[in-house]
Amino acid sequence: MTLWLATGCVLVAAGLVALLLHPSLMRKLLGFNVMGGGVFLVLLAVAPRAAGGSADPVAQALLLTGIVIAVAATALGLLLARRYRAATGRSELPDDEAAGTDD
Amino acid sequence: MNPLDAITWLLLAAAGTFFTAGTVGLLRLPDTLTRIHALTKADNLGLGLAAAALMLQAGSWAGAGEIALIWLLALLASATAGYLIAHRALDERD
Amino acid sequence: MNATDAIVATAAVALAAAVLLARDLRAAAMSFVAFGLLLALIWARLGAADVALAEAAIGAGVTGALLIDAAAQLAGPGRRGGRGPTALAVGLLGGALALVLAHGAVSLAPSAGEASRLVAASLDAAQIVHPVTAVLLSFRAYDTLLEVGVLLIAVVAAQAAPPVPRPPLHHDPVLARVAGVTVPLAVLVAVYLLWAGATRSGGAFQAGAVLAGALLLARFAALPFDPLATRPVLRRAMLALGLAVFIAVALGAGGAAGAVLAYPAAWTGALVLVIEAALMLSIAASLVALFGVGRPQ
Repeated sequence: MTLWLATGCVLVAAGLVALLLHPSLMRKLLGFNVMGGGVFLVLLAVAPRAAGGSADPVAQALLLTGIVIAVAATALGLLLARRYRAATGRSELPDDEAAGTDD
Repeated sequence: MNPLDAITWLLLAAAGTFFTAGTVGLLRLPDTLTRIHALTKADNLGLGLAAAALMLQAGSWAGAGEIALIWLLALLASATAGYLIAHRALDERD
Repeated sequence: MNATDAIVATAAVALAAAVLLARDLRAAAMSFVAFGLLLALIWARLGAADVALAEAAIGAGVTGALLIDAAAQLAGPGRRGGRGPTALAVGLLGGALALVLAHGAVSLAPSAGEASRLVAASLDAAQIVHPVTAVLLSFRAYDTLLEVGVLLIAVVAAQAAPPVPRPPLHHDPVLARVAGVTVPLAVLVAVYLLWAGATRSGGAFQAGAVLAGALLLARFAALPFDPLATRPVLRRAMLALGLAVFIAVALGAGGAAGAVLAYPAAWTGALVLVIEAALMLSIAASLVALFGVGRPQ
């Protein structure tokens, strides 16, 4: 259990750091997905296992829902990134200094 | 160790060798077309050996048949993917 | 824990690094497909067969295809960040988060397995054989209903923006031939997954993802079979079907059984199958709509 828990935590941290540091929108989405995978791994690592060796059914149901929602969010995010690129020609959000000064 | 398990181990070791060869080809060969060539040949053979190893452990004719069918489907998919990537690489090169 | 698990876990972290640090977006997207498949292996190792199927179909398959498609269109430097003091601070923040998360999870009181015991005890009363299906469609059916609603909202949001121009798809005869064999096979697998979900691992989500893959393959290969593009009414019907049927059963059958989302005992199997079939069609149509690929000319 500790091995998978540690792996999940590393994935969450790595995904979050990538999400924060990469300027490119698609790389942020990739970081978001890796982070999602890590969160699911942490969830399943702490869930108890039933007698026959299969994982906890409630945790599995939560994960199934999570995976579907993650793909919907990723698809929407990618569509928005493509739309942004078509509208402005950029695939990164502008820096705060360049965006002007309005509080 | 009974002979069936020994043969399984042998087949898996051979599969591992072929997969490693394919990966070395992917990393060391110069351009996309040569890499696809190495990958599709070595990896498909490796997959076939791994499938053969698992078929020996399947425990029933139906299970072994399923694994063989899965191998054929994977073969079809990877051959098509290799063809499409190579076609695209050829277009990009021109 | 044994050597295999250690190797798989190390490979997962290495693949995650490959995804996040890849030199260009296409390489990152392809590495992500491999990462998703390795995750599916990990789920299988942890005994979560349904999640493994869903991860392979949805997480690696559909998400991977979406990313590869987007990488082709968002081509550009795909700059990687991470230099200077800000990067160091964020890196330390990430490391701290990992430690806090691990500590929090480890110091949880070991779960007494209350939930799975309750599920196992209530399976007979729910008249459903497979525990995960029972949780998804009976005990926590409300969550699944809302999830389908969220998926529909995402589709509406995706369709609200004007379509992004994309480069025309090439027509390839080899792909058409292979798709002619693979698409019917994929539809068969989807229906089987749906049917098997009642008693084994499987169910509407995995089946919907495989069906979406079949429909997308038919579209990319320019097969004459593309019902969703040629019949917009069918498309809208399929998108709304899942939520509509689910609500109808929730209120209708629930009215007969005494509470919303309760199934009358004799009808449970049939009702669950009807709901799951509608969900499968809806999820497939939603994933195809979210892909944003029009019919090739």
